[in-house]
Amino acid sequence: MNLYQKIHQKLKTRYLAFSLRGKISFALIAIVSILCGLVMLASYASTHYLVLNYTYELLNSKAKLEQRELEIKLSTEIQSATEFASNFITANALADTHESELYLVPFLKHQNHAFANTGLTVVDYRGRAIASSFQQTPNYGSDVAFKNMMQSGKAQTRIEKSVNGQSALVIVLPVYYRLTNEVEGGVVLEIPFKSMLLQNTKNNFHWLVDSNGKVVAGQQPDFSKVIVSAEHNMQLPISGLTFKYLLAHDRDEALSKIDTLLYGYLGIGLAAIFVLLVFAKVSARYISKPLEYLSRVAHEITSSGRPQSRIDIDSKDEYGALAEAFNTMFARLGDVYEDLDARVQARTSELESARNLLNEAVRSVTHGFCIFDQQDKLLIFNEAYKQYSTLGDFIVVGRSYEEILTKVAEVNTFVVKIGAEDDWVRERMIHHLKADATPYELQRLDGRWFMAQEIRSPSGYVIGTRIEITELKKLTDALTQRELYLRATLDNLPFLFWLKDKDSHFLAVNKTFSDACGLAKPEDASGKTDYDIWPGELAAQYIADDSEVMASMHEKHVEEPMNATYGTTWVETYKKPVMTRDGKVMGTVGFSRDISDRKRTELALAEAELRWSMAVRGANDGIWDWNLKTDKVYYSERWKTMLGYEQDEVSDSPDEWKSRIHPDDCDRIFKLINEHLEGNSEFYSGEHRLRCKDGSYKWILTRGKALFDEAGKAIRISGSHTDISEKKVSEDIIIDRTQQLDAIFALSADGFVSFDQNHCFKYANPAFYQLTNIDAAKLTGVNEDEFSSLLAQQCKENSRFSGISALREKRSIAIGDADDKAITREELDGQVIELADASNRLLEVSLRLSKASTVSEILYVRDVTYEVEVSRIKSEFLSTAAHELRTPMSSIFGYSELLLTRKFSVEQQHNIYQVIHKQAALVSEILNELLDLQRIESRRGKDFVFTRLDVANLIGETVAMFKVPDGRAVPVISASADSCFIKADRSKMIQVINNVLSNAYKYSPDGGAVLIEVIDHADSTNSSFIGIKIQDHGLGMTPEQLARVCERFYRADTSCAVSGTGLGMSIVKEIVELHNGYVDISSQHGTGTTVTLWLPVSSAN
Amino acid sequence: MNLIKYAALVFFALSTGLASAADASRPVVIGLSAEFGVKNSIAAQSIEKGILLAIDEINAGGGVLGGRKLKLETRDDRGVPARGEDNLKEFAANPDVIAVFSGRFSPVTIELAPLANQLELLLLCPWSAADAITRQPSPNYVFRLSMTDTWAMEAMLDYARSRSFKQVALLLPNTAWGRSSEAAFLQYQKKHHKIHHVTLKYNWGETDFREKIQEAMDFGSDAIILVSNEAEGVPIVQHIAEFSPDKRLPIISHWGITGGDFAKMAGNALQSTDLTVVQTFTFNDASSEKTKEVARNVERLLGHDIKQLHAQVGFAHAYDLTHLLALAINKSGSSDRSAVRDALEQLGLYKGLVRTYNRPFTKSDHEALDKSQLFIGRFDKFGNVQKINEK
Repeated sequence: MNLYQKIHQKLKTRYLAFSLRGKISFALIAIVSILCGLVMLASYASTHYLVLNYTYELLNSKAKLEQRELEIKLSTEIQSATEFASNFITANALADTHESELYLVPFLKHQNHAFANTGLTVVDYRGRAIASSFQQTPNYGSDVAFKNMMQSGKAQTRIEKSVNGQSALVIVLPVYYRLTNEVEGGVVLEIPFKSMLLQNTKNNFHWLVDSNGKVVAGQQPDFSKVIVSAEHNMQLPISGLTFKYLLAHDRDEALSKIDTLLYGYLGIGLAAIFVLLVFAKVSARYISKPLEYLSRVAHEITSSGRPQSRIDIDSKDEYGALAEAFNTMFARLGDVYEDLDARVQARTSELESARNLLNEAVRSVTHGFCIFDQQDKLLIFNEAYKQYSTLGDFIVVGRSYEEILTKVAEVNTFVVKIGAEDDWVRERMIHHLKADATPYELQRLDGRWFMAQEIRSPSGYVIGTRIEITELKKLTDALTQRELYLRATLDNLPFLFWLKDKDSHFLAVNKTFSDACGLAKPEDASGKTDYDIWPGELAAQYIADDSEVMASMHEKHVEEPMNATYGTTWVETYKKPVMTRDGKVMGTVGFSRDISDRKRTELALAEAELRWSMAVRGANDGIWDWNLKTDKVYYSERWKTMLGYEQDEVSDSPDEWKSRIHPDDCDRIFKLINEHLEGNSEFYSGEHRLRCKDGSYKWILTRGKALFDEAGKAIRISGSHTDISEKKVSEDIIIDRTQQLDAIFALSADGFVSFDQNHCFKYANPAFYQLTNIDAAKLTGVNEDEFSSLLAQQCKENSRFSGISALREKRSIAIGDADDKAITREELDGQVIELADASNRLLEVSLRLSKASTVSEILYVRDVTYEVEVSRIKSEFLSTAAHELRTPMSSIFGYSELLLTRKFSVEQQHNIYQVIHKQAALVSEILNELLDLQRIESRRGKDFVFTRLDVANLIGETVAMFKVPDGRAVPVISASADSCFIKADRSKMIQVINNVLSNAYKYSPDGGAVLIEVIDHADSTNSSFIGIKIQDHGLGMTPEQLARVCERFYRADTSCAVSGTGLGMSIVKEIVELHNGYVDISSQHGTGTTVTLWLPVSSAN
Repeated sequence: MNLIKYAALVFFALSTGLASAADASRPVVIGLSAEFGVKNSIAAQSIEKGILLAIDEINAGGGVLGGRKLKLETRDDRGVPARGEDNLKEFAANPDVIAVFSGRFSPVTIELAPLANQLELLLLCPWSAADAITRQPSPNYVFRLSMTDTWAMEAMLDYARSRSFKQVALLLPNTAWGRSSEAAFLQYQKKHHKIHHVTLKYNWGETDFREKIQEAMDFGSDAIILVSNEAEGVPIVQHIAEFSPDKRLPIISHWGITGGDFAKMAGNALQSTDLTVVQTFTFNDASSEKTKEVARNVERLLGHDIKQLHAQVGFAHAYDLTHLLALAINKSGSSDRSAVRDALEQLGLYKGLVRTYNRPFTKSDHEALDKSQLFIGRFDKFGNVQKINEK
């Protein structure tokens, strides 16, 4: 037997030795102890978990902080390196590789780095260090990051073994060379990872892991012994490099405190259990003793049935108080029992007397009375019920209703349809069970009527009454009969009748009414309101009328229109309140009838009256009515206001009118009226002026008609006055405009012909007749085609008028084609025709379409003879000028060609040169003169300097300058004795005289004197002109030549014997005319020519 | 021993002979490492044209070394010293390359010079002016046909003094060129105490000079002595033109600004400022037979008028320097770099485009020009520099 068995055996023995109470307590204590142990274990586990969790969270937040700090430091470092890379000094160092160390190295070495041992190096384009903060200058030539940077021109980051063999973060930044703006070097920032992290302590560990999970810095501890924080990602600026920062804490260290705590709690727990056990044992003994006594007394009470015992515990503690309370309770219970017995007896006797009263009451009821209980069994009934049922002693308490009914049907004492007994029983059963106090009438075979009524009481009893109603029945039948008579009477009334209650609901209407409102029968109206029958508006009116009648308690009589489908119907309606005997209003009664015919007649009359008054009042015309018998005139208000008078300012005398007629119009108007009064006209109408209040006159259109008696005598004239002053004014305007237009068209040099809407000739202005020589009489009433042929007849054969329709067609084609291009004037221009008569006029005929209502088109005729002539002259001049220039030019060309192609002797050459020179001089002369002429024409004398010139002096001077041809005598001057003056341009006048003189010499090749004479005051009409006459005795001209002598390029000599340009006389004529003078030429073929220049005399001042 | 020596001599002679026989058909290469990639700069192109024209003339006259043609190979250094050095190393590795021309920028050339000496490769400098470039230990492989900062500073300051300027603002780049110029100024100041100055340094590539100009004005400067390239010169001129005419400071500029088409880049601002520039050569002022001949050749080879050729100094210097190189090659009779180097120091009289050279280089003096060559000029309407009238 081992120790365990021994203990087990001992415990078992001890346990079995316990009383039941002891066994239970022991078992309970054991269970509680086990439970406590379990709870303690659970709480230890959860605390353990919480501590781990808390430590992890703490680590996380710390790691986050440290990671952020590292990140910020890194980015600051990179930022300052980036700034350094973009510094001008750094770029400059590339251009200054050797000496730049002087300023770069100190600069590099004095940089404040966030991490210890950080290196900063400036390298050239091949990665060779220019300056470095490292003692040992590194070479990044083979560095991948550097190569990538040079290739991409962008900053690069890499983790690399640094110069010292330690792992480091290498950041290569580009340096842009300013001269080329390309990357020509770099700045390398090297941060050893070692210096990035805090030193590991005994319990705390820091390390960095790259994206592949490889530890790049710090030391990774044994994960089984530490609590590790989450991975904190650290994104490096510039590159996509990512690190993970991790923190760990020693697990045992974290948990050591909780374990200590556990041991402490365990000790305290065990001590507490021991104390509890001891305490329980003592207190149980103390508590159980009085309870045992209490239970004994209770047992005594229950066994005796009456609480007579007393508990005698005299202690003063809670048990004593409890025993006292029990004793009191027993005493009270005894009292209550006695009271209860007394009450029960009293209630029983009360119930008995109530039941007796009920039975007596039931018996005393004269009508049949019965009560069925919830199971539908007869509970109470009286004698009357028994008699009513005719079943005698069959009726007993406890009989079910269905049995009673079946029996009734069987004995056949009630009127029940033979064969339908079962239905009757069912119907009565339903009525009975419904028990809703609905009266049910029954007839017994003895002729007596009963009314059966059942009511269900709240507690489910069915209380029935059977009342005899035989007398009532008879009375009702009589009433029904009377109502039928009344209805028949009402239905046959010829007007609408109705009766309404207080709320205007129809109680009854007659047949006429129901027919009128389209109801099938009069009964249909009951319960309805006017809204159900009439249109809303009308119904509202009717209901309002009802209320009015009921309120006033007087009848109402109205005539009102009622819209029906076939038109407005007028109805006459009486409404009257219906009173009870004591004078209260019960409702309304009313009847109405159709009075449309009467109404129509009345309305027609009223309307006629209204129209007249409206006509008088509202018309714009003044109305007057002259009673010839009384010689009084009614003047309407308008008549008075028209003339500017107030209503009361004009009397009813005919003189009010007569005296205001304009004196010039009096006779005419009275004549007109008299003619009418004599019966010569049906009515009269005329215009005259009436004087207004302010003295002005208004034009009035007067219209009137007389009324004659049987004898044919006028008894009354009435009529209207219309103010037509404005019309008159517009008429005047039209007349004025017409006159203006007439004057314009009459004076127009161009011809206009207008056609009306029917394309008939309407009007032509005088210029048209004058231009075309068409007789005005022939045109009256002709249409377009006739007009066209008339005009065509006037034309020459080769330029006939093509007709108006042809012009219109041409025009419409022009417009039709011109959808999107502008219509040119040429396209709209008409035809040019040439007249056959002596005038040889050229007329341009064009058509203009009109949009005016009375004019369809206008034919526009313009005299273009002059224009055509001018253009002909222009082209002729051009061709002549060209021709004139061609002749000398061809000579020059020919001779110069000769000179170029052939060899001549010096003499020949000289001759040829002379010819060329002469011809060139001629060309030059022609051009000069042309320019002269053109200048004179274009300037129109504006450049002339007019001075007062002595004619004799002028001639003397000109002749003196004139180069007389060899062998000819100088001109003979015969001036008058008086010196006479002209106002002229000196140089121009010299040119004129010179031209004439040179012509005189040229055209008198055979000699003869040339005379110059001054003619002063040649005749009295021409006294203001002075003539300079130059006469030669040369070839002279034929009349034809004479007529053309002033034409440009016209030369009397066609043989070329006489040199000249043919422009001289043109210039002469032009200049003289610009001096307001004229040229007179007379010539006799073969005897000579006389040219007289007439110039206006200049007065002495 | 004698036998071995002899054998070595024979072998050497044979190998040289073979080499020269092989060389006879191969062209002699001239390298040019210059800032072709720098925006708006035309100096490199101008130098290239000068060399090409000279090569064209020399090759037309039968080449060098009895028939070998000259050939130009160019490399872009983008104005970056590191690239220039790499270019130089590549050229050095090619045995056909006899000499390398450098470009315009002193900071580049100044770093090429010691390397060239170290590589024993001839470095010919037709433009860069930093004094230190030619100051290499003997044997010195660096030759220059251009001005020096010292001369430039002297010429500019002489001109400033002639205009009675007492106070000048030195606007210098933060590079070897700027330091060289500053040193030259201080040297000058030792002789002429009356000229006062303020030094304002800028970094390459800066674009806003308003503050510096204001500083110069605040200092009471009478003029700005500008040491810059066209990239900085243009904004400076434009900033100055923004002032009212009475406040605009005159600018006396080093010639770096002529490295691009400065007149075109500066636009109207140039008309509003008093800008003078130190210069060594311009076609405008020369009308010798040589000038005319070159002008004709330019028109023939490049197809445009000489007036359309900007950065003319680069062209002229490179042209003369190429001819001098050809003379030296022929004089040495070989394409051996050190022999040619020696020959360059021994050249006699040569009538060049820029001037007539009498012993252009000596053992101690590797400057082909001297200060007398310098003059002060202004931009004319074609954008070329025109000598100002000295009164």
